[in-house]
Amino acid sequence: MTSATQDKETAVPAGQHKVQPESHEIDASARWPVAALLLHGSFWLVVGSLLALVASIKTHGPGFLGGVSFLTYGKVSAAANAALYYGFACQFALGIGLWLAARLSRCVFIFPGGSIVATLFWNAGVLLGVVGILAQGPSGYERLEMPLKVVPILLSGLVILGASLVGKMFFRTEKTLYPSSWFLFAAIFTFAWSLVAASLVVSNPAIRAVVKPAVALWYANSFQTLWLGGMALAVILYFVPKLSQQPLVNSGLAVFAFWTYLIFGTAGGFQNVAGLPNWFGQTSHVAALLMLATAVAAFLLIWSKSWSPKKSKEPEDEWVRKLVALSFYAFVAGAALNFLHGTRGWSALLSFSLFGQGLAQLHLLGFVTLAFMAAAYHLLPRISGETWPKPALGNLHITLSLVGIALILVGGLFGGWVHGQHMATPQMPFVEVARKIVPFIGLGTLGLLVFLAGQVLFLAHLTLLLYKSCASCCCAGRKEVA
Amino acid sequence: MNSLILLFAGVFATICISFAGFVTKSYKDFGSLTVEQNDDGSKFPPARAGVAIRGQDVYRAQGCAACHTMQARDRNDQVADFQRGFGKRQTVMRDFLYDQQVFLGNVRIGPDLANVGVRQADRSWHLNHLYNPKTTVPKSLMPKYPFLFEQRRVKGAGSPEALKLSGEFAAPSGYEIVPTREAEELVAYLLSLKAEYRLFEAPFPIEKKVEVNGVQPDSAATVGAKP
Repeated sequence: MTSATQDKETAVPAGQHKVQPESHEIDASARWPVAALLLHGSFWLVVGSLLALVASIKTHGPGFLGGVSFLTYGKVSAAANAALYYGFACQFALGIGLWLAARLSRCVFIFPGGSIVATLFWNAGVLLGVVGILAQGPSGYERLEMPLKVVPILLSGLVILGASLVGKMFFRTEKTLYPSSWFLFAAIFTFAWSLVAASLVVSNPAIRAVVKPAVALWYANSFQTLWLGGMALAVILYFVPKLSQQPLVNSGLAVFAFWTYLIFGTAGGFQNVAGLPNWFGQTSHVAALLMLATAVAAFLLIWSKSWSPKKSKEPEDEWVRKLVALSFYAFVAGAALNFLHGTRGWSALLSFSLFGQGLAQLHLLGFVTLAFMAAAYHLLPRISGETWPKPALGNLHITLSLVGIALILVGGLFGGWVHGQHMATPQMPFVEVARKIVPFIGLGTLGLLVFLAGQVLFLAHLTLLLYKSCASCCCAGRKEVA
Repeated sequence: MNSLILLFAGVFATICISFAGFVTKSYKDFGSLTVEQNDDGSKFPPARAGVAIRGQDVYRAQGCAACHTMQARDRNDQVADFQRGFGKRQTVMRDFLYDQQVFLGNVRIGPDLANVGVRQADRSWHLNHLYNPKTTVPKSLMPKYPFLFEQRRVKGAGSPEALKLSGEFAAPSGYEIVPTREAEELVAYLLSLKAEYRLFEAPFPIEKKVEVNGVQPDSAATVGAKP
């Protein structure tokens, strides 16, 4: 494509870089910002998994690290959530989102140092948040467990990274806005808005406490569904056409899937909450039903002619293919179970049981984490200029992750069923109800142990890759990764 | 859909509607809640004592909401909340009118606490339970909170606040276990959790009485709140 044709076709605004940069140029500019986010995110994934493991052990073994004021179950489980959601998931979302935005917009990083500073701010906020939870206890609001005073620190980083992401889309040299870009934009916009709004409301002593639970639940849903879920869908919709080397089937379906996901996703999060007026739960339940339409549209979009797995020479291509497929299955399963969870019979049985936690784990570990891992396995060799040094480590990481996630989900979802059955039996004392679910919590503990082992391997593998990249960069020119 | 401006407009409008529907509506509805006053001058929900309000912060700091909920569900044939003593009616936001923070919770590893002040009104029981749950419920999986208590040497006849413990849980000879201020505040808060008053939006459900062995039941209990 000649530059004249590019100018004519891209019709870029004045002052914009008129010649589309090559992929390797984009990757080279993305190297340090994205690597910093993913490396820190991997560290927090290990920390969060360890804290989650400790919390899980304490559930069925209350004497484990018992009697220590900063390691109560409530503090450790909240700290685990903070580390996993804000330390790992958010940083992976931001790093992958920046790289996707750069690639899709054909736009290089202009000032990568700014993104690195933002990463440091973000990690400072997460560290203070996790330590603050262990020291002072959680805030009491789901997905906002950190002391709310650290939110401005997080926002300092988010503003820079968000502006970088949106700026690439605004100054793009590629005329087309792909479906992944729609999800990227909606995700970052929603996250920034909901984080600011929710933290301002729940931290304001002038606002009555009775107002805050609904706001906190609204934020938790926006965070999980629109921010993390939106980013995961952006990843899936990027990789499916890329790996199959065919376009998505139908652009109309993509538009339908995007808008239904956004509209119905914003209305969720209030199922199975007894303390709020019924219209909250009923609205969310209808939204969950209509979200199934999104899942069907996404299924049709991806799972027809456009998706034909091809054998690839690079090990990471098979990893990416497997992880993207499993992530999508988890998305569809999660949408279906979320709807069923709100139906009258299931709701009565499963409310306040382990099932709700199982659903959250399906979303975070099954849907979001697998999608992010797929993206990480694909982009890291490209931005570092090196291939994964130990493919066996990658295979082992994926195997351990999948086994661990499977055990965790069996424990949560099936354990939730048993939990609900026993809670509905008034003749059974509650202490017996708790004891009946110990085997399922134990299964979750085993799953977390296996999962943690996998993530330690991933962190080690990632560190080796970056070390290899730094070493070769210092010693010789980098070889270009196709 | 290639226009970033249109994309922004659509996303902005969608989030605005969601924000208006859930956040500002919540502010409008719950922010205007008032206390209910009966004809005899009694007010519901009853205000909590200052020490109980301070106990809310202890409840938050210890992460109690990670295992306990405070939302009793309306009775139907499929839940056992009322039979378990979690309350006599649905929990509503007005129940938390005087609170500085609402702890609805979302999972019951332990029992619901919305009505624990009625179900277990013994202060000593709660203090012993916090110190070591196995002193009151031998099979309990709840962790112990000994750091909310102080072990100190007995002086004279001993403190009247000292826990009455025996067997393997007793304090070492010459020592007593005394609750700290935080333990007292937390227990005061737990004892204040009572949800057996009627509210207009949360009437008691109709009690159906069934004929047993040919004996007709008494007249049905009146239900509903004040007129």
